[in-house]
Amino acid sequence: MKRWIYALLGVGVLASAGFLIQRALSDSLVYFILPSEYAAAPGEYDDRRIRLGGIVSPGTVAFDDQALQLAFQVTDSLQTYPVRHTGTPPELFQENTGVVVEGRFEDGVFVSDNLLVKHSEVYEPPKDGEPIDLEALKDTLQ
Amino acid sequence: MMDVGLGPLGNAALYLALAFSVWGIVAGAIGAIRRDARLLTSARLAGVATFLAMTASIAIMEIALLTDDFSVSYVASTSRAGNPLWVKMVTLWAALEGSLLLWGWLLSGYWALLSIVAPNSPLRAWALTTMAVVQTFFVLVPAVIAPPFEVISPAPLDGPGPNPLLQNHWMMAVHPFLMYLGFVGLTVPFAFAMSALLSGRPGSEWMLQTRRWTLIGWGFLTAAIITGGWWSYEVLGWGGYWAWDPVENVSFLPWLTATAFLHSVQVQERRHMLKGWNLLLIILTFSLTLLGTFLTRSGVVSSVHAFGDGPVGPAFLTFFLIVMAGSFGLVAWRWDGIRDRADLDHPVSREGSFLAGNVIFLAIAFAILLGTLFPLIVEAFTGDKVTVGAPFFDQATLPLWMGVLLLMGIGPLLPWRRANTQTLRGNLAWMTGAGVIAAAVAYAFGLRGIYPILTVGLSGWNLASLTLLLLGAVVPRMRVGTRSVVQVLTGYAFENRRRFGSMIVHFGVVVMALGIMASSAYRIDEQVRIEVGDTMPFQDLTFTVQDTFMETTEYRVGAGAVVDVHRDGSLLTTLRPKINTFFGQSMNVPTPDVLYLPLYDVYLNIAAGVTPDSEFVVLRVVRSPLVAWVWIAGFIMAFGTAFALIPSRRGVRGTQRAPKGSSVA
Amino acid sequence: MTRVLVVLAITASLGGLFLWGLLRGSPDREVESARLNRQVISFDLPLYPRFQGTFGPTLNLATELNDKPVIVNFWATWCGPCYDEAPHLQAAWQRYQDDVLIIGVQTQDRGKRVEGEAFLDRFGITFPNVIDDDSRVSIDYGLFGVPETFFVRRDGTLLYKHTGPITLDKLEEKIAELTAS
Repeated sequence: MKRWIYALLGVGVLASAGFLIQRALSDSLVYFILPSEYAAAPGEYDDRRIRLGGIVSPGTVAFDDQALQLAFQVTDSLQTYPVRHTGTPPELFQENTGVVVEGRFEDGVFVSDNLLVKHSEVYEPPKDGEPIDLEALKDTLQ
Repeated sequence: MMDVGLGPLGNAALYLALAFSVWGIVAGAIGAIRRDARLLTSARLAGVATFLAMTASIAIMEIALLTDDFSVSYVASTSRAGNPLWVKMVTLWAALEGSLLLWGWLLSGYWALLSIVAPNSPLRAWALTTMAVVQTFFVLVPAVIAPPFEVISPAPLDGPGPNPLLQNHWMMAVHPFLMYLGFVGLTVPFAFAMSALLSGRPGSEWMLQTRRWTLIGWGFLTAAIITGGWWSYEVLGWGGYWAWDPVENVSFLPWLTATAFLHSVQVQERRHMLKGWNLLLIILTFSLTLLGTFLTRSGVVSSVHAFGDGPVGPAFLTFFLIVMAGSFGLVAWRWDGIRDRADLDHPVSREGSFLAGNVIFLAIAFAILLGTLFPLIVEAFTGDKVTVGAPFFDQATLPLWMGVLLLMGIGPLLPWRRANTQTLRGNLAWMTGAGVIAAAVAYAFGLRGIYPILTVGLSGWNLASLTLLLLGAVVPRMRVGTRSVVQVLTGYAFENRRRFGSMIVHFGVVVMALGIMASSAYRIDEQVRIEVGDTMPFQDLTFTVQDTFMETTEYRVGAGAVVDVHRDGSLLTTLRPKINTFFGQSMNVPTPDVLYLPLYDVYLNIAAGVTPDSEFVVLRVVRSPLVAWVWIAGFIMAFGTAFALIPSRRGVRGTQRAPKGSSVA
Repeated sequence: MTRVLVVLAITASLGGLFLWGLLRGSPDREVESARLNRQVISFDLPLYPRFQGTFGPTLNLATELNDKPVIVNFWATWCGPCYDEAPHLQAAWQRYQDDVLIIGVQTQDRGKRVEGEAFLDRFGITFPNVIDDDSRVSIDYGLFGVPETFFVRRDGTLLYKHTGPITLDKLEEKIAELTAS
C-alpha cells in the first residue's frame, strides 16, 4: 500500500548518494602518469592533482636544510620536469631511484606535497639507442 | 614427543580438525534432511571436537614460538629468538599464516559454543551445518593453502622476527585479535540466516536467537577498527589515524552493514517487517568480511599496508564467490516466502527513521566500496592508472554522516508505528534549539566551514535528544515513588539494558564525531628544523631540543631526540621521538612520541635521520585538537555495547524479548 | 528463477573483475637488477677465525678479484632458504675452487657469531666467510633479502644476480659464464 514510501525514500537517498559520489569522483580522481604522458597533453592535467612517477635524475638533487625545501628533477628518459617538495627527503631517497610525487604543476614546476620512494632497487635507464619500456617503468612505480 | 617434531604434530591437529569439520557438514546436512537425532548429536560433537583439535594446533604453534623451534616454517619466517616474551606470543597473528590459523581457532570456538548452548530449535541443525562449512574453509586454508606448520630441515638457528611495524607497538597485539573476534561473531547470525532459508523458516526466529551474537560481533569489530586507528596514529608516523587506505576501508565495510543490520533487526522484532532486507544485510556483512580479506591479501588493490600476494587471495575469492552465489541465490529462490506482509504505517515513526538510517549506511558502504574498487575498474576498462584519494571519501561520505547524526537524534525519540505530532514538535523544538545554540557557540569560538559547524550543531541536537530520552524515562518514575534520582536512573538503566546501552553507544558516537571533526579540520602538520640546544616556538608551545640519543637493546637500536615541551613557561613533558631499527629487519620504523592532552595532542616524529652527533633535528610536529576523544569515544562505545550485553535476570538467554513498554519514549 | 539468474550474473561479473585483477599480476613486478654489467662496490670485512690462516684477518673483494672471478653469497642464520642452498655452494666450491672464489657474507645478523660458527660447522663450509655486522655491505648491494648471490667478473662488473636459494645447476651454469668471460 505505502510501498511508494520505501521506493521514494530509497530512490531519493540513492540519487543524492549517487550525485555526491559522482561529484566527488570527478573532483578527486588522481591520475598516475609519467613525465612523457604529461608532456603529450599538459593542458589536460593543469589545475588538477596528479601523481607523477619517474626516476630521480642524477646530479639534480638539492636540499635546503634551513628552509626544508627539496628540489630535484624527475625523468622517464624521454621527458624531464623539475620538482619542488617541501619537507625532508625520505630515508631511501637517492639519485636514480624511482619516486612518485603527488601534487600539481605550477608554471612548469611540479609542486609536491607527498613524496614516495619506490623500491630500494635502482632502476636502469636505457642506454643510448635502446627504446624505453614505459609500461614496465609505470608498473614498477605504481 | 620431540622425535615427532612440532610441525608434523601441528599439521596432524589441523588434519584432525579438517576431518571433524567435514564430518560436521556431512552429519549435519544428512541429519537435518532426515531429521536423524543421532546424526545431529554427532554433528554437534564434531563442533566441539574441531574446537579441541584447533586448540591443540594453536597450542603447538605457541609452544613452537615460545621455545624458538625454527624447524616450524611459520616460526622460522616470523619469529626471532631474542624477542621479548609478549612479542613471541603475539607473533602468532603477526603474519598471514598464523593469523588465519587464529581466525580458524576463534571460529571453532564459536561453533563449539553454539553447539553446546544454542537452544534446540528447528534452526539449530542447519545453522551448525553452515558453521561447519565456513569452518571447513578456515581449516583448509592453514592445512593446505597457507600452511604454517611446514617442516624446515635443517632448521635455521634464528629467524628475522615479525614485521617491525607490528613489533613496535603493543596495540598490534590487540587489534587483529579483536578484528577476528568481530568477523567470527558475525558468522553466527549469518549461519542462522542460512538455516532460516534452508529450513524454510525465514521468519524472525533466526534473528531473535542471534541478537546477542550480532551485538558481540559488532562490538568487537567497533573496538578493532578504533584500536587499528589508534595503532596507525601511534606507529605509522604521519600523525593521523584514518587514511582511507583499502585495508582500512574493507574493515569498515562490514561494520557499516552490521550497524545497519543492528538497527533494522529491531524493526523486524517489533513490526515483523524487513525480513528479506535483514537476510540480505547479514549475508552482505559476512560476504564483505571475506571480500575484504581477499582484496587485502591478494595485491588486487594496492595499499600502503603491503601484505603481498600469495595463494590465499584466490582461495578467498573462490569462497567469497561461492558464498555470494549460494546465499544470495538462496534468498532469491525463497523470496516469495520472505516478502513482507506488514507495511510501514507512517514514515515519521521509529521504523521509518531506522529504515532511512539503513539506506544511508548502505549508501556510505557503497561509496566506500566503489572508491576502493574504482582504480581496479578503471584499469580494467581503460588501462589508465588512477588512485582515489582521501578527498573522494571525505566528499562523498561527509554529507551522509551528517544524515546519520541527524537521524540518530530523532529515531530513538519516535514511537513505533506513528509519532504523536504534538510530542514530536515539542521534542524537535528542544533539539533544534540545542543544535542552533551549539552551532552558534562553535561559530563564536571561531569555527568556520559548513561541516565543523554542522557537526557541533548536530552534537547539540543529539545531546538534547539523549537528555529528553532520559527525562522521559526518569520523570514518570520519580512521580510514583520516593526514590532518589540516582536510584531511579540506575534502576531504569539495569531494567532496560539494551536501550540504556544504546544510549551510551550513541553518546559515544557524538563524542567521536566531535573528535574526528576537530582532529581532521583543525589539524596542524608542519616540519620544523631545530638546532640541538635551541628552542623554537610553535603555536602556544615551545620546543627545546635537549639532546640527541642512541639506545641499543638486545633486539633493536633506536636513535632520536629529547625534546622538552613548554607552555606558558612551564614544562609540560619531555618527548623522545626516535627511529627504531629492529635486528633481522632492514626497515627503519619511525616511533613518534605523543603528549595526550584533553584539548589537543602534540605529536612529534623524527623527519630525518638522527645520529648522536647531529647538530640539528628535523621534527614533524602534528597538533590535532580533541584527537584523544576519538579513543575515549571508542571506550564509551565498547562500554555501552558491553552494558547492553549484561545478561538479564529475567528470561531465557539469547531469546528473551525486551520487556513490553520499555522502549516507549 | 530470474532472480537466481540475476544473482549468478552479478556474482560472475564480480568474479570476472577480481580474477582479472589477480591475473594482471602483482604491481611490484621485479625489474632486472640495475647493477648488471656495472662495477660492484668493493668491501673489506673481517673473516671468521677458521679462514684467517689462509686469507689474513680481513678479506678484500678488490684484491681477490685480481686473482679470480668471485661469487658473493649473502646469508643469515635466521634465513631458512640459506640452509637449503649452503650444501650446493659447498659442493660448487669443492669442484671449482681453482676457477672461482666463493665468499659467504653473513649479513643482517648482528652479533650472531656463535650461531654463525654453528652454521659453518653444520655444512662443513670451507670457502671463506666474512661478517657484515652493521649490514653496510648489504645496503651497498641493494639487498631485498637473504639469500642473494652475486656473480662478479674479474673486471669487477656484475654478471648476474640471483635472488633466493641457489642450486648447484645454476651455480655451474653461471661459473661457466664467469670463467669464459
